[in-house]
Amino acid sequence: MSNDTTLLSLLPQLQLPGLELLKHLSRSALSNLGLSLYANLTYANTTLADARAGALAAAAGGGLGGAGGAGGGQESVLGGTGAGFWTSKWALSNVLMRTYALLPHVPSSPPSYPRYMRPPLYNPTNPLQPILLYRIQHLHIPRSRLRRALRRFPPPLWTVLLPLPINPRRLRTRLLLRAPSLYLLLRSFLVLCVMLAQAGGFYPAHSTLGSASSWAEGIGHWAQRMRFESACWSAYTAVCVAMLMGTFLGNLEGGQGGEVAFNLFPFAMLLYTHSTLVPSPTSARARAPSSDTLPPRPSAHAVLTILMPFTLMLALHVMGVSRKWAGRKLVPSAIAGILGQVHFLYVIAHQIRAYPAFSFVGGLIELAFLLSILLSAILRALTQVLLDGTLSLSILGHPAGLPTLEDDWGVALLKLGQAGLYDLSRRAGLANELVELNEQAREPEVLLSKSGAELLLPPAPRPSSAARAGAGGAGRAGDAAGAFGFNREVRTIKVRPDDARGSVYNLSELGRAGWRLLRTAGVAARGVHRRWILKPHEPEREGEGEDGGREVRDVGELGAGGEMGAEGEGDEERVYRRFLEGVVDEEEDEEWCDEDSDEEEEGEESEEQPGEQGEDERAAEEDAREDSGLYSDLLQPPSANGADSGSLAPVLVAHLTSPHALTRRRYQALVLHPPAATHDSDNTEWRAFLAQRRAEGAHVDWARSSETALMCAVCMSEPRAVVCWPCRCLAMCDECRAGIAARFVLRGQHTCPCCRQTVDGYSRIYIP
Amino acid sequence: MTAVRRIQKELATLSVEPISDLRIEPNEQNMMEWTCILKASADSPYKGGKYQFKVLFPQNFPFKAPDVEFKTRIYHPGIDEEGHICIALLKDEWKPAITIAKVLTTVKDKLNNPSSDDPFNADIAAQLKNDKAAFLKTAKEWTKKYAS
Repeated sequence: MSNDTTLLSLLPQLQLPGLELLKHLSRSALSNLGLSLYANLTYANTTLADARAGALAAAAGGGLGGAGGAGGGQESVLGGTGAGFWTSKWALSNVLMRTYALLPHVPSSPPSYPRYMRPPLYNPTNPLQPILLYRIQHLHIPRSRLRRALRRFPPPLWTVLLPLPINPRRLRTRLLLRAPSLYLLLRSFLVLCVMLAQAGGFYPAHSTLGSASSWAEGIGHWAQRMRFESACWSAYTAVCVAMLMGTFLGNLEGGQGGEVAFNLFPFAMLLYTHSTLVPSPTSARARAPSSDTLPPRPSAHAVLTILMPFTLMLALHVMGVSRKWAGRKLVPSAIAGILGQVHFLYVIAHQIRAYPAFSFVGGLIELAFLLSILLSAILRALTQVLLDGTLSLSILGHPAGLPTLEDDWGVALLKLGQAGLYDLSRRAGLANELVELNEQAREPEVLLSKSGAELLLPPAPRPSSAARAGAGGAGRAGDAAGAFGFNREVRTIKVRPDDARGSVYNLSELGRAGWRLLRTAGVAARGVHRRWILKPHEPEREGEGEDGGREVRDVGELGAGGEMGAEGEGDEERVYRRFLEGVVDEEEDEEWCDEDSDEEEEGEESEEQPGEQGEDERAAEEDAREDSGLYSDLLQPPSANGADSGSLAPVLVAHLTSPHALTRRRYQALVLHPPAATHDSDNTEWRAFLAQRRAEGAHVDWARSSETALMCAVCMSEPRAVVCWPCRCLAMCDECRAGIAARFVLRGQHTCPCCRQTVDGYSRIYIP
Repeated sequence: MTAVRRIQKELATLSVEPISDLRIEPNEQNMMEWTCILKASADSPYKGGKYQFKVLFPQNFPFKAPDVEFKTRIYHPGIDEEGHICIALLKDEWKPAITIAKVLTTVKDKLNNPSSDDPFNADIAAQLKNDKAAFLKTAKEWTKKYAS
């Protein structure tokens, strides 16, 4: 150590350019090698686009959603974005630094520093490093067989001196191989620590040290005389060498290099910036550093911002000695990150100008990430406490999306940040739960949407009769849609893409809703015009519907048709349907004509319908009678030859404003007691029934039926409970669904585990 | 952990319904690593050979395919020098619903039925196509040399 310094302090006095070059070569032969071995494999793998995406995201002032979206959920891409994140931190800081350099308090004369430290060397050699590191990472490790074959040769003489082959997994070997880099790191660590103490003014005074005073004084003196640029440079080279060794040794073990995730690039920029921004010594002093004037120092805060990542690197390297701890970056990097944040907050709270400008933006971005994570964690914790009464780790996101111990702090921040934001902002694929099956009056279809309603079936049919009618295959007259329940196979599944986006897009959603309303109103007006103002045209006859859906609908009409006079009832139904469909959609002409023709044929068959419905049928009969009363009201305008369509206005308005298909009951309720209309007893009954059945379903012992067909295709230990749309595979449990949802972020990456079709949404299934 | 739970489950299933000619020995320290020994069928070119291969499960197992790596050398168009085997099921056709039993059966079928289509080891595949006798001879030799 001391040899090194004395030699170096002498050398500059000789003023020989050749010798100076020699000096730098001798001093940093290793260092230069290390310099070109750039830190992070992630950088090598990171495409320019990734870096740019990360930079853009960060530039948006913590545009975290962007980072998450661009990065995707997969670890490698996320790592890339992580790298992009740090790189963008650097880029922003660099801009800031350049602005800062224009400020008057910075010395205007260019600082003088040794040749090896000139700007191009810290920086442009950086791109060379990923290449070298990448090559090291991809060294071919011979398979055990080859190694065994090698051992068969008689050991050459030099194995006496060097015990070869080495066993890279032994602790002693690991320590020995890391010894040079550890020495370099510790030396720089000592220098930086002493510099920090001196700059902060709390380096122990001679008197307080007692016997150790001379020793401490010596170190203090030595550090004091060292130029800050040199200290930075040695720290940088130490880090480079340590990384190179860490990667190489990690590769020798056949595993992943443990320390590669240290972000050398921003660190190099940090060092470079601070060594150039430090007030430069005059040329006289530079020539004679042994004179009494001491080399200048940056502020303690600046030294601390350098010391923090450096200590992290040291910790990682020391941890690399132990096989067990190697590669567990999260803990040390989290400690370093949090300490850095504490320091950042402390400084900006007390004296904002004192914080080194270079690290300022980076600190801000990290702070924004932390705050957003904290916010969503608090919100979730609150929800969980209020609803479940307990707290679990899931307030940070689904376990599958949480960072592992091997992750870097930056990656961890990104993972947590994007998990929180993703949940809050946008849902797609397996994260998009669809709960409402929107039963429509025409061709049955499922409209996938995220309404948030707790209904699995449309609320229109009353629960008891609906259940029985579904089982018995009979319908009610009030259900104008025809087939329903088990008779209705839903074949068309539509996804309303607007709903895939969440609350963030409220405005556009509102606009779209308005547009839909306008369009519906337009269609309604046209329908009314055609049906009642123009002369109603004769329905065209068509062939009998042959597909299952249509037959199904006919069966639904049987119950009512059998009880009532087939013709009279049919008349009213027809009119009502005409009315309804005219309003709902004008494309329905064919449909209702069809039904019309079918109906008459069904009329004869209605006798064969089993008459075991009892009460149900009586209820249906009553319904039908009420229906006819209402329909006759509606029939008024057409009988008056379409002259007075004004009385239809309230019905139309009710139709347009009703959130569900407007039934007779609803309309009546609306007319009689408008505000209380939504909470009829039926609905609550139905909900209670549903909740009860679901609660029962949750306790079914599925383990007893050891059929793998019933078990989740992913974990094979939970019953299947999630159906994917639109492929309709009932493949997995909700836990695994949440796992995939948390893991794969991009919409296209959510694929069904059984058929690999892209998943647009899912629904939970409750098996009673 | 989904992975460990599922692997245990599959192991239990495999012990109840074993695959013929295949012995499975999970690593006692690490559930995510199985060693399998496959006896080549009598009508294959590798008759009498016992082939050891490893099944390595990634940490996020059902979402990522397991790795199959042959430890015993074999003269096979679908298995390369390093012991990697080329099965579409483990590459782009992977989906979480595929069971390990299915994977192992596929490996077994692939080993017993060398085919010159979908060649992983191009030289051997060409030989199998053009000079089947030579291929069979070498395969037999290798079986004797490495796998018995």
